[in-house]
Amino acid sequence: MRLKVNLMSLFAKYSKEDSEGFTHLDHGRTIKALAEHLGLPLERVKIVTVNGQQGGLETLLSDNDLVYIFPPAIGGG
Amino acid sequence: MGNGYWQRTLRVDLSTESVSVEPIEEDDLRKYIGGAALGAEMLRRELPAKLDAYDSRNRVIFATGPFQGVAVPGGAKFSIVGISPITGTFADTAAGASWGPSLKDAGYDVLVVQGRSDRPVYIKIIDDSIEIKDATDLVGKDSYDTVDAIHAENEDPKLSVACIGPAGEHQVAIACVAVDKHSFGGRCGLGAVMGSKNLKAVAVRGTKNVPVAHPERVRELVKTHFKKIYDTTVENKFRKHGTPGLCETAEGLGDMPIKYWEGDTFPEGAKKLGAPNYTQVLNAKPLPCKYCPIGCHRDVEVTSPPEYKTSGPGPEYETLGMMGTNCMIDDPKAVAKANDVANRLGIDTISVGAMVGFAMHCNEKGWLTDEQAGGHDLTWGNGLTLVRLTEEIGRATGLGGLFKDGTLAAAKHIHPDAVDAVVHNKGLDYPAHDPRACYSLAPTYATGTRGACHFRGPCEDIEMGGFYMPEVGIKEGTVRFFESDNQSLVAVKCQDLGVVANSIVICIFMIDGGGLSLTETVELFNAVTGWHFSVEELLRTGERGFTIQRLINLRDGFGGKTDVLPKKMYRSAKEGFRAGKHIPFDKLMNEYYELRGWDEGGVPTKETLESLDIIMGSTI
Repeated sequence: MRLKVNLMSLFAKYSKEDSEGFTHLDHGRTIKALAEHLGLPLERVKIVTVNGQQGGLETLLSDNDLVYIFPPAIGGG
Repeated sequence: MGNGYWQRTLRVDLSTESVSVEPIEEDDLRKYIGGAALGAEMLRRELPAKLDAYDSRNRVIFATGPFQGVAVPGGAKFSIVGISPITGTFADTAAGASWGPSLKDAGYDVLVVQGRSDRPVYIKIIDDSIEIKDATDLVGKDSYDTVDAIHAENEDPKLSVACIGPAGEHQVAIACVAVDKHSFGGRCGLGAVMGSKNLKAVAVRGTKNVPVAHPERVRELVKTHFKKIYDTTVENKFRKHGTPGLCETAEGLGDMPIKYWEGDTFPEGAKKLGAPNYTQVLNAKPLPCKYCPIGCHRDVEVTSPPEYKTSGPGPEYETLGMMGTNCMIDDPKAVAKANDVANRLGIDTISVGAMVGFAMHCNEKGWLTDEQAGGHDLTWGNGLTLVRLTEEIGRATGLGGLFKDGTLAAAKHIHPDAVDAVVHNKGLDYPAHDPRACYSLAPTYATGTRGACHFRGPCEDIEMGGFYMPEVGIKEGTVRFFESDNQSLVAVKCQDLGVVANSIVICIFMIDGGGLSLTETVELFNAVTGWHFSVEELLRTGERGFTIQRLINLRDGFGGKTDVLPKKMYRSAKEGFRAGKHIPFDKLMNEYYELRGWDEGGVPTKETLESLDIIMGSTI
């Protein structure tokens, strides 16, 4: 399936977008599988949104989903 | 056997130029620890209700805790406590660099300054030698030149200097206390209180070592925790990028202030202001406080364009939020320059950003007269205006002069509708986190004892995955965005943690970002003091300290009626992550009051006070 994945801030370097800005993943996979595919440190994948809704590692993805993965908030205090 | 305290308060009365040393009872230390909680209890005991901040009886209390005598990671902090000229009630602010450990090394836990000198002075403390020195030659010097001048005059570059800039001298209400050209006790205007006392600086150096209960154990824990925090923050990039690493996460989740709280999204701004762009553009490097394994402060350098040329401590996330996205400014160089101007003049960068954003907002609404605008181009996003207006605010001239007593006071002079547009609690401008994104911030700000403050309760970082407190049941998933469950619990526990951190005193980034657990913090605390606190007991001292601060708020006229959100917080976003969401404020506050053991008017019940072993005196 084809996803629009926005890796924010310090996660940007993990991007595996194609030339059209899409990330490809097998159908029926989760955020966890996406994070592993990208090589993101799983313990730091805590804040995810899928199509504007908060998700988590077990959130199931569908074709054309819009995914944002944020590094945790450090230094907000 | 020592306990990490000298149990000594140094008191200086500037009216009489008298100096005394008073004992601190161990019972008070066990109840209030030090720093912000002990300082609050001293204010409660010593000052009457509704005291004007510039009354000579007001105190400036510089308070350490048990962690300043040993090289605890993040322990180079101290709290400053007094009545704020912005809020008119309790205020505490914390700073780093090396001033706190220096006071401890001189043989004191707390310095209380009261009275008013009839001439500009500074206090010099070297162990048992206390001098009140003439500061006439320091008048008008900025907060960096003041440090250099005191070092030169005393031929003693090891003096740690907490001072005010020109803003404090002129009682600009948002004047901060600047420490060692490095760290700033920014919020609530206690620099203006120093100015009202004609106190330009306190310079301190010590040669003593406070005894601790278990020195070997302390050394072992310090070594272990230093390495752990260092490794953690190398791994999570906090060391490399500092707090600017937060920008894109905060903006993406609707937490960053945009267009004076009326904008919804500004992703390109957050990207340019945040890491890694910030680190590259400003050539930023870690600028650690003493004993710090993280170095979250940034040392930056801008060589061009000439109008933004600067070097020194760079803007933090809060400043990037308030001076940057809040004003629709996306140029980190402009923010770095304005930050430097504010630091040198000695004003709080959060409130400066709020004021500039508010001025731009008023301009857009047509509320400012041409005469008030003073020739400034107040178009959103104008970096040069930010720099120039920052200078005016610090010097209380031009349009900046309108803001001398705070944003709320300025609004009253600007337009009848402007007052309701100010985003504040108790008169203190909101910092750069939005309760509409992180609901736990709503009760946190509404009940903030020093006004709206994220840092006396870093609950937003729990919501955004930064840290947890499993020891008190706050884990990943305890709160979720836009769901009210447990939000008030997180607010309460984070507020209590905030008081603990500012009383021990330890930089909260050791816990929030550095990975130091509450259990490890308590182990260290017990090794220093020789006491046997549990995590729950230590947080209980935080709750007690918070309640003391609340009691001061109550006697100063605040309470349930001021536990509110500003009008703009009821406006929901039209786009972005928090589009269409509304804070369930009444529900959150009902739960918050219940958790706190407060009645419907926001007053702690008799049972609550008894359970916290708080004794009501005649002044409350």
